[in-house]
Amino acid sequence: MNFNKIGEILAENQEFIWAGIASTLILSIFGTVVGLFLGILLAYGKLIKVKELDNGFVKVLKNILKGFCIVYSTVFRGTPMMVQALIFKYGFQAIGVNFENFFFGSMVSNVLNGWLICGLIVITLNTAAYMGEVVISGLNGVDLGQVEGARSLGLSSRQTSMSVILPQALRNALPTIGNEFIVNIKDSSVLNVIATTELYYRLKDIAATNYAFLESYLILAVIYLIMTLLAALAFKLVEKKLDGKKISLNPFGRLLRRNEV
Amino acid sequence: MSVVLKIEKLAKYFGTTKILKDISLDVNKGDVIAILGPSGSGKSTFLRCLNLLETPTRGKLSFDDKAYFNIDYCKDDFVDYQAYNKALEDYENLRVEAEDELAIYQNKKIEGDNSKELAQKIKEAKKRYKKVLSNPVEKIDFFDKEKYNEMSKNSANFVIGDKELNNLRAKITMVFQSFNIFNNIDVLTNCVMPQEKVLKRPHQEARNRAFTELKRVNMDDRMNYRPSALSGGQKQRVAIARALCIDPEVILFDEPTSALDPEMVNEVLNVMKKLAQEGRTMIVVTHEMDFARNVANRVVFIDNGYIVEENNSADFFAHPREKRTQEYLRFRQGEE
Repeated sequence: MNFNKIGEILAENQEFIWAGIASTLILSIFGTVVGLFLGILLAYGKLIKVKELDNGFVKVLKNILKGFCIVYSTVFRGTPMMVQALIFKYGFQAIGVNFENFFFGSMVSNVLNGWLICGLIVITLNTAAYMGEVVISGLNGVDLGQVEGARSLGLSSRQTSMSVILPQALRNALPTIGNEFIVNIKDSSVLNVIATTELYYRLKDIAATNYAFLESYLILAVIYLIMTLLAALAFKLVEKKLDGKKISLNPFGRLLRRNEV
Repeated sequence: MSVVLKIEKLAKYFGTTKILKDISLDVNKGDVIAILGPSGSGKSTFLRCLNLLETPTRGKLSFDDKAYFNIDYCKDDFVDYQAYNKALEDYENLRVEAEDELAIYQNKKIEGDNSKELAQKIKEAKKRYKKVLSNPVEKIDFFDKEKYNEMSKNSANFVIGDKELNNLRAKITMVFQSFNIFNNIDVLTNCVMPQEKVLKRPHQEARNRAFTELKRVNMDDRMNYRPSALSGGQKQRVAIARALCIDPEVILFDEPTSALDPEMVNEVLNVMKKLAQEGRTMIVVTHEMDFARNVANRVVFIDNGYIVEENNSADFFAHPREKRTQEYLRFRQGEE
């Protein structure tokens, strides 16, 4: 292995690497945020209660919705994202949508190409299925007394879930959501099979053109590591902020305080 | 004195368990009613029925002479439970029988019998099993619909709508044993948010009101704390302040001090004493005999789903009429 080579590759392919980082970030951030939103809907869909008192139409509707949510999360959690990506790619082609024809001008086409759009769809739908479970477990973690407390003050059921239950459920689920984000940063690499030009795809290209495989993949690993570390740190800060604690960026803060005691 | 809350013939069943059987009570304006009774006697359920956190099975509840719940007959009364339970048993027997039969044939197959006859028998047994499963016992089959319709035609059958119910709950609010203050926001927001959402008060007014009420319960020095940083007694005082903020006419206390240690009990009871002296209408489920004796003006003793005895507090403790009450009081006094 040649260390000079690493510097060379980095210097020569800066533009490509930045473009790769950008699309990986777009994929993982968009996938996690929108996936979380869909996941909340999915969780509420799965938790629908069909009551005996409902009339026939409402009963059927509720059953269909609930059934859809269950089937959706089973299918998307039960198949690899790589396979889902391929099915989406060829499925869209079969109905006449070709992502190759999507252009966003030459300036940004490096990052924002048609395959990124396809990748975004896949990663979002896939994340939503997992987020559904994450949100359900978060909701289960909220004390039932909170609902009673809110309802007994006169809050409607919607107000209760929007301002009391959901915030607490999401706070409970935040570590898992952060985990999901980190998984998304890494797992977006499988989208290279549909030619989404994310980080792995770029470095694979660079490795082949420069004939420097070990060097390129080491660079790749370090970049992923930095991204995931930063993501984990960001989520820690958000958690602290939500708990109403003071945010300090000093990594030795805790150490020092312990020594004072 | 005007009657604020009128409770007539209230009953609550959980399935076949009858928690409350027949309870009638008039709550006057300014009353402080202590509800005593052994655990499991239905005290809490009674309280939860009053603001419909628990839907009563039947009875009539009115607030300021306006009924918000009025059901004379409940469907459950018209279910033939004896026949229903028997049918359930029969069904279970049939199911087990069919299952066993199927299992016997299948075991034979596993043992190596591959004859066509056996395959046929398995097929038939499966069919029989499915047939049994497809006819489950449904409660509705034992429900005497005609009689119910006939009886309920001329009788009241009214439950308040969701929107009005929310407004009513602001009038008859509740303080819980487990505090139930919102963990995701600080003390001040706990008091402000319900005012904004339920009463549509402007933010500044709601804040001022929250300051006043938090001061009343001596929690004004902890306004920016999260509930997780408070002790039990402090949490309960915040819960009381939160309830006071929405101008309730009646406050229901569901064992407000049971989860606290003796020192904290006092700080909460002092707040409640203060409220009683201000002339607020309160219904308090409690095990604190001192509170019932000294602060409450009426005492209601509930046991086994009925009101056993109801009297003003002085007479209740000095001369209990019923034998069950005497027994209970003797036991509790021995404890103290």
